[in-house]
Amino acid sequence: MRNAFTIAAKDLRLRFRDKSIFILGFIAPFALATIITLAFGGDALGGERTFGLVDQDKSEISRAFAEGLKSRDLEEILITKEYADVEQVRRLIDKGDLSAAFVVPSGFNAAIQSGEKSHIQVLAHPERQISGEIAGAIALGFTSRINSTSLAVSTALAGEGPPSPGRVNALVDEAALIEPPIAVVERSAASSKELKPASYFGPAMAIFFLFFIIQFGARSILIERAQGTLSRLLSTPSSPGAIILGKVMSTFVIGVASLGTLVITTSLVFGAEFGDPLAVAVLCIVTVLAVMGITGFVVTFSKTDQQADSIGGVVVMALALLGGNFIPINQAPELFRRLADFTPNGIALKTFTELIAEGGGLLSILPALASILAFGVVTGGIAVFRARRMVLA
Amino acid sequence: MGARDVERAKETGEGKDKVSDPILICNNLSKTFGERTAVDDVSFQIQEGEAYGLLGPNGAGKTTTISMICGLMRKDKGEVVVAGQTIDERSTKSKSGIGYVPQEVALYPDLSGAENLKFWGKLYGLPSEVLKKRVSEVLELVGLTDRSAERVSKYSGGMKRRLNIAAGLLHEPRLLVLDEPTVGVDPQSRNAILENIEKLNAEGMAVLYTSHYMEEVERLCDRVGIIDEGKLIAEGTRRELVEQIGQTDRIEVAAEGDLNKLAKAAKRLKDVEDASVSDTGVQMLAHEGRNMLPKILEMSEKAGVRVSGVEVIEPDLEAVFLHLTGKALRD
Repeated sequence: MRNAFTIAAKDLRLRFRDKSIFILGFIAPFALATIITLAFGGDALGGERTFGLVDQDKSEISRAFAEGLKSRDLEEILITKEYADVEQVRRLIDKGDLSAAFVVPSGFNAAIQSGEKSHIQVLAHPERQISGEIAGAIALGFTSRINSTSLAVSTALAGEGPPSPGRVNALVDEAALIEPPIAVVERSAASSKELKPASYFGPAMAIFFLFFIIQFGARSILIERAQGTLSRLLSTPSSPGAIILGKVMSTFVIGVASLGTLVITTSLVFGAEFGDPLAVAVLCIVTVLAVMGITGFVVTFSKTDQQADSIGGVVVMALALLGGNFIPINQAPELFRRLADFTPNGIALKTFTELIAEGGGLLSILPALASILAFGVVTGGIAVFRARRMVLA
Repeated sequence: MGARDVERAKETGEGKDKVSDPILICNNLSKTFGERTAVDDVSFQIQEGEAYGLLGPNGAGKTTTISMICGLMRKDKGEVVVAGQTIDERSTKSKSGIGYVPQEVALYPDLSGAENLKFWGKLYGLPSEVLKKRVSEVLELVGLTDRSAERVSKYSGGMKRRLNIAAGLLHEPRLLVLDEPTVGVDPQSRNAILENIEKLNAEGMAVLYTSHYMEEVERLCDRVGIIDEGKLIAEGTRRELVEQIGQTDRIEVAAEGDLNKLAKAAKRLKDVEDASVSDTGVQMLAHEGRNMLPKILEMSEKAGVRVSGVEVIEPDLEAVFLHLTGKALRD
């Protein structure tokens, strides 16, 4: 065990002397996260969003929707301005003066009263996808709630004979107030924080580069074998297990330092929020372990350092694309969203966002942690087994 | 200790105990890679303080044999015992008896010379005070004290080789195993390396030295094992090996006077197989050439020949290797 620590300390010293760790581990992921974050425009840096509302229905329910948007719960997150003309709103969105807009179509109230499905139209600029998503979530939450309320009212009135319009409206208002749309909107309002690009792309880029950093650590066995130091290590009173453990420890420390630094930096610089610190810390650790397992797996199936580098590069790019390290996976087609659930980085990114969206803690993400860790345990177990054979080849 | 002192120590056995128990016992070592047998049933022993040379061409199985001795590689068959302890790839503490100097410069280029030595010394569990002292001592031994703070990447090839040896000496092993430590080294550094090894051996450290340079093995080693195609085909002192193949010494007598008379007289001597007149004197082929010198000088005086010099050229290991394998060492 003492020799494992000695080997780990030596590896860390060598890694920090080799400046590439700062580039791969800190500078490159931060720079890329910054570029991508800035590319998301106003969504990226500003917490304030201005939404437009066109009320073509002018009914009690459409007014209730407008009031809900201006409620105290939402005013910290978005500002709502009302407009009469849909075309004017479109122009303002195109100019970037509005983040998104709601259009309550005429006949909205009537559709509800007749028991038909009702819809609120959402307008958003294609480049402001997050604002569009927020608006969509608010509108969907409201219409779902009001449609279910309508159904409940219809059921309540059954058997009372034909209701008067006033009676229906009164019951609709009453039902909506019992479970106001804001209850739905509150969840969406929280989601608006999670959707800050920095909160997503900070960890996304950190995990992407984590593969390269950790791969370099795993490849160090091949490098040591090529330069002859592995033989000399084995000639000392160090077992193959101690040598592997030393490498695992140094790689783990570098991985956690890199991912942790990125999370903290994006939080400080971009105001990104990540949720419960303990849960985030454990998520970072488990993600590092999974990446270590996968890269170790790839390296131990390679004969030379060059081969490990090439194969590793392909695997990393495939995982990054499937897991959503470059494009938020919720914007990808359904097939890709499903595939992301089979990548540790995809699950990790999803868990990072869920921690903010749902405000959960360590317990709430245990299933996700177990899934990520499973990747690490299976691939890492095979890697350690093969590494022992590789060391004594 | 200078080169002459070393030579004297080798001749007198000073600092050595050549009749003690073996420091290394190798029994029936075998290793196969796929269809190729790299080491085939190799057995030999090294005594305390002895310098043993494993001589063979590239690919003969020297490095594989050493790898099994040092526990770097699994053996297919056989046993290695160092200082009474069995060594295999799972051994840890028992490896402390061995100082291994690999063929490659097995050092970390981005660490300084002193940092490299401290790292390797720590792996042998040396306490910090002892480690500090030993680092200083081995740096002094290999003449790198002044450059110890520099990164190894800035060292010359010869300096790296010297530090490579120093790393194997930190824990004062009882057996120093050197795998072709002078490959690619300039003559000056090569000589410095050989002097260091001679010095350590004269002080009592057993040495296992592999090389395909016959001169190095002849210079350093008390006994030699000749290995070819994975098999140890001959073993013994240089003299014993030469005698095995029945070769004679060549004696060059530089002289003036009646050289034919001297040659005829020499032929009558029991151990002289042949004698002939050459451009500079008389050339003889004889067994135990060195022992013949007093008789030759006496004979020359009787024949009225004035001798200005005598050189005994013994058959070398190259000749032995050629005789045993039908090929040259550097093939």
